Amino acid sequence: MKKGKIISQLKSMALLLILIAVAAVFEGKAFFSFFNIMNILLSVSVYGIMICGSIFPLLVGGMDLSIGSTAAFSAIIGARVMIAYEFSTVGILAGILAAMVTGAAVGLINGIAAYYFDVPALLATISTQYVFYALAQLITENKTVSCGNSDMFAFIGSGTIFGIPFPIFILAFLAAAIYFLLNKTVFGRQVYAVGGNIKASRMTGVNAGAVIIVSYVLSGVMAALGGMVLTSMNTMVKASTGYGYELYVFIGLMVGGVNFAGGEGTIQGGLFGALLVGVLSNVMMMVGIDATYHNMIQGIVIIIAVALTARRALINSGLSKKAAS
Amino acid sequence: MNEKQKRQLITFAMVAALVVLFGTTTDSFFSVSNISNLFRGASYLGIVAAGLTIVIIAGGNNLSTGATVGFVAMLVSRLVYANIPIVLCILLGMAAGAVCGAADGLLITKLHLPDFVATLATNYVYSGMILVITFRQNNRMVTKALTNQAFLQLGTGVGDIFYVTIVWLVLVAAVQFILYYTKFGTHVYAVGTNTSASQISGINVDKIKIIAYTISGLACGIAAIFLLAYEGAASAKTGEVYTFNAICAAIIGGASLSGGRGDALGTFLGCIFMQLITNGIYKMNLASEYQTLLVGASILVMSIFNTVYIRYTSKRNRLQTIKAERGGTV
Amino acid sequence: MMETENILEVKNIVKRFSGVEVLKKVSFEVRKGEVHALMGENGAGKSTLIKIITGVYPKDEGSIIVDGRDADINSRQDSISQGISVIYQELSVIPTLTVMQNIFLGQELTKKGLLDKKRMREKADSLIKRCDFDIRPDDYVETLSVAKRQMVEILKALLYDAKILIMDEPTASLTDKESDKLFNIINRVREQGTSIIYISHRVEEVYRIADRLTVLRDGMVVGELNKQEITHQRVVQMMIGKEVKEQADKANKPIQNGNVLSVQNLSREGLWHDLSFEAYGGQILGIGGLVGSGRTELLRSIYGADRYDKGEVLFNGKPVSRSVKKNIRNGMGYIPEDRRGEGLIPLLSVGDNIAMPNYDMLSNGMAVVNHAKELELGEEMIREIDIRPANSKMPVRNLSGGNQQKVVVGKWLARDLKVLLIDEPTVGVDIGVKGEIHQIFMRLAQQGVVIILVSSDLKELIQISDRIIVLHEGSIFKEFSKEEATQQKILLAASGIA
Repeated sequence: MKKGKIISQLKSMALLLILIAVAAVFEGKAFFSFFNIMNILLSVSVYGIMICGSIFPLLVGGMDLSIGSTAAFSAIIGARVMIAYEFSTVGILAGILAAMVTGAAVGLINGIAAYYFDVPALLATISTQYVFYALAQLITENKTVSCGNSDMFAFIGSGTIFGIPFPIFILAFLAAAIYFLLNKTVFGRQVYAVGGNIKASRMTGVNAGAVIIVSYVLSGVMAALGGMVLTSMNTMVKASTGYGYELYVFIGLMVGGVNFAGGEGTIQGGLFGALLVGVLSNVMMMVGIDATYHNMIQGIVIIIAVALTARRALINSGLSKKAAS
Repeated sequence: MNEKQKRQLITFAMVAALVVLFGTTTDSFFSVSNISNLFRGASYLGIVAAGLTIVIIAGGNNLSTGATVGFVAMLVSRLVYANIPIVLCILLGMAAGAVCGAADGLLITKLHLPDFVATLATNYVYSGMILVITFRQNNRMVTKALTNQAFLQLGTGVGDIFYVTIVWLVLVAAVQFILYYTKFGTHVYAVGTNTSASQISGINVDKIKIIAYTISGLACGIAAIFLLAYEGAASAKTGEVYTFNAICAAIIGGASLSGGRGDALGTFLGCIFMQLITNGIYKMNLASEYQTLLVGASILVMSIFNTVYIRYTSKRNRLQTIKAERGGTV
Repeated sequence: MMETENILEVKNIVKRFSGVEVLKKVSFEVRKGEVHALMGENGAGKSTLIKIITGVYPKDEGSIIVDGRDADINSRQDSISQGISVIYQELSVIPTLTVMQNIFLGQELTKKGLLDKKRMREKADSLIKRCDFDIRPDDYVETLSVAKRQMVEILKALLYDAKILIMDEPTASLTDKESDKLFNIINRVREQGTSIIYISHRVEEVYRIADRLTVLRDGMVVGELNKQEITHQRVVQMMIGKEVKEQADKANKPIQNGNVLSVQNLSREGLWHDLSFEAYGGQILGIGGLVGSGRTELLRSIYGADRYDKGEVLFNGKPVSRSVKKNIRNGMGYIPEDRRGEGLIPLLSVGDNIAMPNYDMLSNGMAVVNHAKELELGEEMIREIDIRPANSKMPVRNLSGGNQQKVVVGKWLARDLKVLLIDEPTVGVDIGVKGEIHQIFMRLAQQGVVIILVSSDLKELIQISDRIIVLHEGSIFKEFSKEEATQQKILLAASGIA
C-alpha cells in the first residue's frame, strides 16, 4: 500500500475519532444509540450509492457535479413508469431500469462533452445539472410525483431487515460490485491507468475515450439509483430531490483520499469519507449547530481536505504547465 | 479583421438575431421603457460578468460570485438599517466584495487549490456567511425591508436610464480599457495562455491572479449594492443566480475557459443575449424553468462551439501559413 | 576592469549530478560579435552547460565572466540582467498576443501608467527592419509559422539588449528555406554587435555560419576550430573521438525466419517523402538520423499511434492495423522515447505497469482479472530482467531511471512478440543496465522478433544493429551493414553530407 494513501486514511480516521469524541462528550448515550447510528447510516446510504458511481469520473481526472439533478430527473422518469404500471413488481423493476437508462444518458452527454469537446468537466457537469434540473421542473410542472401507494416500493427506502434499513443492504451490494469492478476487472485497471497517465495508457492499447465516457455513464446510473432510493424513502419525488447532494459526495470522496487530479483513490476510502461526512452532519446537529451553517462548514472542510492533498497532487501530475499552442 | 473581431461578430450576430426575433414578435419591444428595463435587468449580471471576465481570461474561474453578491447585499443591508452613513456603507460593501475576491485569489495561488475547488468551497462559505449576518427576530430569520430613501435612490435613475446601467456601461468601458491599454491587461492575457512563458518574461503570475479575483469580487460588491437598492431587501438567495449566468455570458461572448481569450465587449454582448432570452421567455409566457434550461444548454453548446471554432481556425491558420511559406516570399 | 574582446568567458566549470561529473572543467570563450557554435553529441553536456550559463542550474566549480566582469548567476533573472538570452526549441511566445506585445512582454513601455503603443510600435518596427524580418508588429503570433515565431523570440531577446543570444537547436523544426532565412537573420544580428552561441549537432549548418566552433564530448572540451579549419570530417571526428569497435555479444548468426515488416512509400506532409524499407525477423534494424528527422513519428505511425498520409505498412504481406490495440494483439510492442510521459504510469506499481498491455492474457475473457496470473507475471519479469528493488508492489516512480526502463521493456517480454519498436531505450540509464537491456533486445532478435531501433546514441546503434538506415530530410539517405558502419559515417549521413 502506498505510504501516501495510508497517511491520508489515517488522517481521515483521526478526524472521525475526534468527531466521535466530540459527540460522546456532548451527547453521550444519545449519539451511540442504535437509532442514531442507524440514522447516520441511512443518510449516508444515499450518498454512498452515488459515491459508488461518482468515484469514476474523479479517478479518470474529471468530476461529476450533475448527480443531484440527474438523480431527480431519472427518478421522476422512473416514477412515471412505475405509476404507469401501477407499481406491480414488473412495474417497479421497469421503473428502476428506466431511471438507470436515463442516468446513463445524462452521463453520456457529460462524457462526450468532456472528452470529445474539451469542455472542462466542471463546467460540463454543472451545465447538465442546470439543464436537467430545469427539465425536471418542467416535466413535473413543479409538482411532486407521489409514490406512496406501494408497500413493495416503499420497502426499498424504508424497509428494514433485522432492524437494519434496507438501503444499507443496497449500498453494501453496490459497494461490493463497484469494488469488484475497480479492483478485479480489466476496466478497473484501465480507469486507474487513464487517470494516472492518459498518454501512457493509450500506448498500451487502452481506449481512453471509452473509459472516460463509461466513467461518466456509471456516475449517472448510480445517481439515478440514489434518486430512486430517495424517492422510496420520501414516498415521492420532485424536481428538487437530491438537490445539493453533489457537495456531500464530492467532500466524501476528497476526504476519503480520492485525488482530484486522477489516478488515485479507493472506493473504501470514498465510502469512509461519506461516513465521515455523515457523522460530521450528525454531530453538528447534536451539538446544536443550525442546519443552515452545515454547508458553510462543509465548505471549510473541502478547503482543508483539498489543501492537504493538493501538494501531493501537484507533485504527482507535475506542476501544471500550459503549453503554447 | 482579426480572429478576436470575428468571434465578437458572431456574438453580435446572435444578439441581433434575438433583437429581430423579439422585435417582430412582441409589441412595444423598442419602446423606451422596455429597452431601459431590459438594460437594467442585465446590469447586475453585467457588472458581475465584467469582473469575472478578467478572471476567465487569466485562465481561472470563479464559482463564488453569486454568493459574494448575496453576502455583500446582506452586509450593506444591515449597515444601512443601522443608520450608518450611506457613503460608508457603500465603501464597506465594495471593500467586502474585494476581500472575498482576494480570499479566492489567495487560496488559489498560495494554497495551490484548483480554481474550481477553491471557489466552490468559498461559495458555500460566503453563502453561509449570509446566514450568519442575516436579520433575526426571536431566533428566526426574517427579511427586513430598507426604508432609507437616500440609499434607495440608488435603485432609480435619471430620466429613463437607471444608475446601475450607467455604472455597468462605465465598468465595461473600464475593463475593456484595462485589458487593452494597460500592462496589467497584457499580462492577464499572457498568464491565461502560457504561465511558464509569462514567468520567464518576468511576470508575477500569482500577483496577476490575485488582482483579477479581487476585481471580480469588487464587481460583485458593486452589483450587490445596486441590487439591494432596487429590491429594497436582501435575502439568503440574493445573487445566487449570477454565478452561473455570468460564466455563461462570458463564454457566449467568446471567453474560453482555458484562458487567453475574450474581452469585456464580448461579455457585454453575452449579457445582453442572456437578458433578451430571459425577457423573451417571460414575455412568451413560458415557465421560468426554460430560462434555467437555456442557460445550462447554452453553456454546453457555446463551450463546444468555442472548442470547435478554435480547432477550425487554428487548422486554417496552419494551412494558410504552409501555403504562404511555400508559394510566397522566400 | 580590463577591456576585453571576449563577451563571455567560461572557466573550468565543473558540474556533478549525484556524484557523477557531467561537466569536467569546461572552459571556452565567446568573442564580441561572433557566432560561436557549440557542438557535441547527445549527452556531451551542451545543455547542462547552457543551463549553468543561464542560471537554471548552479555550478559546482568554476567561474563565469561577462564582458570582463565576474558574473554571479544564480537565476534566470540574473542571467537576463547580464544580457544573456536563450531561445529554446519549445518557444515561449504567447500565441494569443501580437508580435509587438510578445516582444515587449514584461517590459512594456508606458506613458503615464498606460501602454505607450505608439512608441512600442515604432521600436518594434525599427527592430524588425534592422533584422529585415517579414512580420508586422500587429500580427497575432498564432497566425505565424514556427520560423516566424522564432523571429519574434529573437526580437524579444534583442530588446533586452542581449549581449549574448543562445540558440538551442533552432533549425530542428525548420525547412531548408526557413533555415536559410534563419542564417541570414543570425548574420544580421551579429552585425548589430550581439554574439551568438549556436548549439547544434547538425554539422552542415555549423559549417555555414560559425566563426568559431567548440566541441564537447563526454563533458569535456575536445577542441576548438576557427572558421577556416571547419570541415565536416574534422568536426565529426572530434564529436565522436576514437572509435572502438565493440564486439557484439552474439554467439550465433541472426536467424531469419521469414517475418518481414515492410514500409512502402510512406509519406506525410512535412515529414517523410516516399519512405520505403524492410525489417526482417531475427535482425535488429537501426534507424539513425538527426533530431527532427521524423524517426519517432515513424515508429509511432507503424504502431498506430500516429498518422501517415500515403503509403502502406505491411507485415508478411498483410496490412498493419492503424489501431494500437489491434497491433498489440497481433504481436507488436512499442518502447516510447518519453519514458515518464508515455512509457509508465507513475502512481501505479511495477506489477501494474508490467501488466498494462497484457490483459488479454491475464483475464478470463470475461474481463475479470486473474490476479494470481497478474502477480505472477510481475514477479516473473522482475526475476527475468532483474528489476530492482524486487518488489512488484512498489510505485514505479520510486525506481531509478534504469529500473524504470526495465519495467517499460518488461511489459512486452511475456507476449508472443512479432515486432518490437524501440525509441531511445537507454537515455538516462546507467552503463550496467544499458548492457542488460541490450542483451534483452539481442535475445529477442535471436528468437525471431523483428526489431526496429531508433537511437541517437551512435555507439549503441552500431553495437546492436545488424543493419542501419539513416534518415535525412524525410527519406533514407544511406544504408549500412553492421560491418561497414562507423559513428562518423552515420553522423555524416544523418547530416546529409556523405
